[in-house]
Amino acid sequence: MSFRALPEHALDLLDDEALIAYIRAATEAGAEADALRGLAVLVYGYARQVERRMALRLPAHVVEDVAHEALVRAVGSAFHGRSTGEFRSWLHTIADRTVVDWYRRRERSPAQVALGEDDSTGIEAVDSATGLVELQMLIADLMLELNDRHRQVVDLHVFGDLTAREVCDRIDGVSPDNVAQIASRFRHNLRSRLNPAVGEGST
Amino acid sequence: MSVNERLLTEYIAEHRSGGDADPRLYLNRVPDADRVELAALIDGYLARAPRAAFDPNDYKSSPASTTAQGLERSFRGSSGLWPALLPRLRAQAGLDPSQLAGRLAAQLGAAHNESKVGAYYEQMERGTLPPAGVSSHALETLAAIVDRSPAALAEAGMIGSSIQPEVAADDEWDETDVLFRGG
Repeated sequence: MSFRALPEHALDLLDDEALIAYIRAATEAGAEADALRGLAVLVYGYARQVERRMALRLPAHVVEDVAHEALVRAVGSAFHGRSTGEFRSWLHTIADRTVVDWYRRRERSPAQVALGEDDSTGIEAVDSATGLVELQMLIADLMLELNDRHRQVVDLHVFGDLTAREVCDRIDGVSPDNVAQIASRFRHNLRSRLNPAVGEGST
Repeated sequence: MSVNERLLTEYIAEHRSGGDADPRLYLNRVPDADRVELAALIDGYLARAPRAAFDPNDYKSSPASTTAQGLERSFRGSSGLWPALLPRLRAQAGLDPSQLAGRLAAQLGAAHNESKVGAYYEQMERGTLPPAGVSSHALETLAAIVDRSPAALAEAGMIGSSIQPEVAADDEWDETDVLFRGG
């Protein structure tokens, strides 16, 4: 199999799956510098996202180490064909598991570990790590209850921060009013499901 | 627009403009009752955000460079993900390679042969020692030192490796070889 090296700017344009295939091909061809360049683009592209997500769940002083471990596990298994689905989803799944592992290692109930309890920011606990993983499952469940078009609207408008007009330009057959209604219903449902966690009166 | 919607919008704008986008600073701006929802929204956004564009200058001084280099060594070697994971775990345990070798040798009962244990451990970090070449006892001892489960450490070593039987003892082996490599 022939391997053709690509410059950084071209690697940056590859999607994750193509980039991983490139890294694999470079490694098999013994092109160490090219494999490292591909890994640099992939790891750099997600490292801070993973760290930010972990900052919601972990004390600040362990975020970098736990993020490193998650990235190694996710990229390593994807490289060796042991991941499932698209890489980005796989990475975030592994990141969530790595956080839970961290709490298990501490042999503490996650609920007893205040977020940032040993951080200089002094932020109060949001929830346990497990709780936040469950929150993402809750969001995933809410998304599954939507039809494809409504799911796209929520992705683009709520999580993608596109305006209602911009969403309409991308999805046929919806009006700005529809977009606002779908997003409002999604947020309402999210708050309703969260109510037991956030307490009475927070509607 | 609710406070959380506004803060999520601000957060996304900061993230997309390449700012720090530290989620904790945003959570600090809302009452406790709204914090879980805002955390879920920010987390949901980050989990869906596309890969960031590569910045070679920022990369050089970022933790990502260490991660990428460790992965490259791993993929090139025969020790699974150990080259990417072990140096970091050792550092988290507050040990340099010689300190780890000393502790590992002592706990294996091979304190008199620390240099050989150190050499084997170094091969694990370099990716030149296949996981089949490390005994269960050595792996369990190492796992305890770096605060990981033996199963997790074994699994990391096996990623990318074919399943091989443990290495058979050689006539030339001394008791440290047997302790570390099995047989």
